[in-house]
Amino acid sequence: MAASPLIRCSGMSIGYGGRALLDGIDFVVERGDFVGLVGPNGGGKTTLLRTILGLIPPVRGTVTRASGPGGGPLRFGYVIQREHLDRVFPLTLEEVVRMGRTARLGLLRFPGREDRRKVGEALERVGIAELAGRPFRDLSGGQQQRAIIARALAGEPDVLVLDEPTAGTDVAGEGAVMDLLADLHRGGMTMILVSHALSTVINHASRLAFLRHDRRLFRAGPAKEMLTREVLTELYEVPVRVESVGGHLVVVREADARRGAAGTEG
Amino acid sequence: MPGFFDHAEIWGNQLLAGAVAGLLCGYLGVWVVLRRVVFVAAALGEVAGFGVVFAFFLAGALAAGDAGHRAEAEPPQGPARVAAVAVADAGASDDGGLRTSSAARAAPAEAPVAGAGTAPLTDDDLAALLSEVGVEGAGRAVGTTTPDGGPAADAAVFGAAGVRPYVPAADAVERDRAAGGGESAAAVPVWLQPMVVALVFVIAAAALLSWAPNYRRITQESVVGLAYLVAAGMVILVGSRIPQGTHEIRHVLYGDSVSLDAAQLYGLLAAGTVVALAHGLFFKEFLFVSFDPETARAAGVRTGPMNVLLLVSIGIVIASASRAVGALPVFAFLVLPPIAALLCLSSLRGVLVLSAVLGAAASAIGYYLAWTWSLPAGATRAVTAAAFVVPALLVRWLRRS
Repeated sequence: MAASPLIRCSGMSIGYGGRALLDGIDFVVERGDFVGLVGPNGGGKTTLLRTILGLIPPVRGTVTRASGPGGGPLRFGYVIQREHLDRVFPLTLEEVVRMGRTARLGLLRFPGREDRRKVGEALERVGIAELAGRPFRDLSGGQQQRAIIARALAGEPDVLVLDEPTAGTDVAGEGAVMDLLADLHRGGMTMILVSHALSTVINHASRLAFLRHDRRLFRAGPAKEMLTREVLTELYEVPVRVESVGGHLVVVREADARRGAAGTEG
Repeated sequence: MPGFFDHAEIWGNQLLAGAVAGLLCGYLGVWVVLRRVVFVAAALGEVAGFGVVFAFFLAGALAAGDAGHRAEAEPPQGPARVAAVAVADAGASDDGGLRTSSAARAAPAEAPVAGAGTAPLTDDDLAALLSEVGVEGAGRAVGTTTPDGGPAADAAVFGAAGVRPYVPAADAVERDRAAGGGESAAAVPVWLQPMVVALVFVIAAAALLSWAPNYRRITQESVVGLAYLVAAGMVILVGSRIPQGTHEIRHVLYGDSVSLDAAQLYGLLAAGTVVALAHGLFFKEFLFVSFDPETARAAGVRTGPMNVLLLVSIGIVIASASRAVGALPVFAFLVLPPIAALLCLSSLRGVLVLSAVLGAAASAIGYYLAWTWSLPAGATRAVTAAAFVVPALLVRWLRRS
């Protein structure tokens, strides 16, 4: 018998204040999945993410979350967009990462040796352990992004949920973050990653969901089924296809691909 | 300083209460500043002031009712008469309800006391009444103009001409009760004590203001502004109905009191203990929900109750400290020491400790300066706290350069 999915959205509409932004959302997240939620800015990705996390209720339909390993609620490690964090707080990197232990500890319990060890491991995992004592606000954008991922990992989550983790980073920074996430996924971590750029997730996601609030479009399925010319063209409204370049998948407009080919022949 | 250290029995409670208030507000102010809820703290200060004024108004109303009943048999005597006069004089104030203590002291009760006889209150009468309620040497300036250098007043306020006495109606009635006037129907119950009413008001306001629904047409700040303006307006409106209590209102708003009842000091210490306990137990939750509420909620932390608890803890200190040292210095201690500490240090724990120490120091130094130069205590404390920001800016500039 197949295991039940970790998260199941059934006949769900998402939105705020009872107003639906997007309807007909049906998809599942299985244990070990790497799910990419892709769509343009303002397309409803973060709204869907917040609904999955339980921060806002669905307007219609249901979102069902499986129990955690210990029978408790499913634990989410949320990697918020770093622009949302207030840099006025005089916190060290270690203090920020230690917050990830708060829910694990529960009320009226104080961080101990085990918690310090978990924080240290999380910092090691993302490769910034040597910066533990530095003020968080003095770190570079990439280091801050790793710190937020480390904080999520410190909570030993069942699902890692990332909202635009590569936003505002350069090509090298984006590559480093995605390599780190791929590494975590290979280690068995279930992930949901929101991005406005399909190229960010195309080489890592096992399952994809495309959202366009303005066109009331929601399509979800295994990555192979979603990366077809028909589906991508429906998403972008121009003929688009996926090509392999040096073993890496890239999304190209067909018009650009034709111009490139003509240039090469000429 | 001549006289200051000889009169510890006058300023001891006030100085200690001010230091405790500065310590607590300096610590809590770091949360206020970091969470960007300075305006909320200002609104809570006004709500606390309204709670105190409302308590005095109700106490005065009770005293008036009592005086009315007793006047049918005999004219009112002693402190009950002060309260009765206070109520009878309600509405006679023509200066926005904030008459100075000297004006109130000199003003005879020209309006007939409802059901309490029509005898006007002369200066001699008032001196006798003040003596009865424990204010000895009324009208003499403490520390600066007291001829014999002795303790002058059990309850007094700083003013432009030195220290003047004030006789809060509710306190007068309460003292009357304590002195054996227990048969008086005007006895003030515990639930009507100004600090209790202020606490109830502030806790309710803190709970309401920490609830942040998704307003579509108005901002959260405007809701806080509404609370601030309503409370500030009500302080003046209700205060205008209790002229004798205007001294107490002035004391609550500006912190001009020289001395302090031990009960108010104990109230502040009790409030501080409760708040310290709450922050000791829930520090990690307070930090998480303040720094990143969205992630805290996603992780399973109950952000709503924690936000309410944090704001209520701030409200409790604002209410009890405002009653003890005045709303103006309390607001100053909530904002200025944290600014100085945040400019100097980059560690949260260091900022919390330094801000608390600066708050206590500003309070003590400000009080000493006010005594030395006959200045209003509340304003002097506030300006002293502001003065700490200057060296902090210098430290910041030196570090950068």
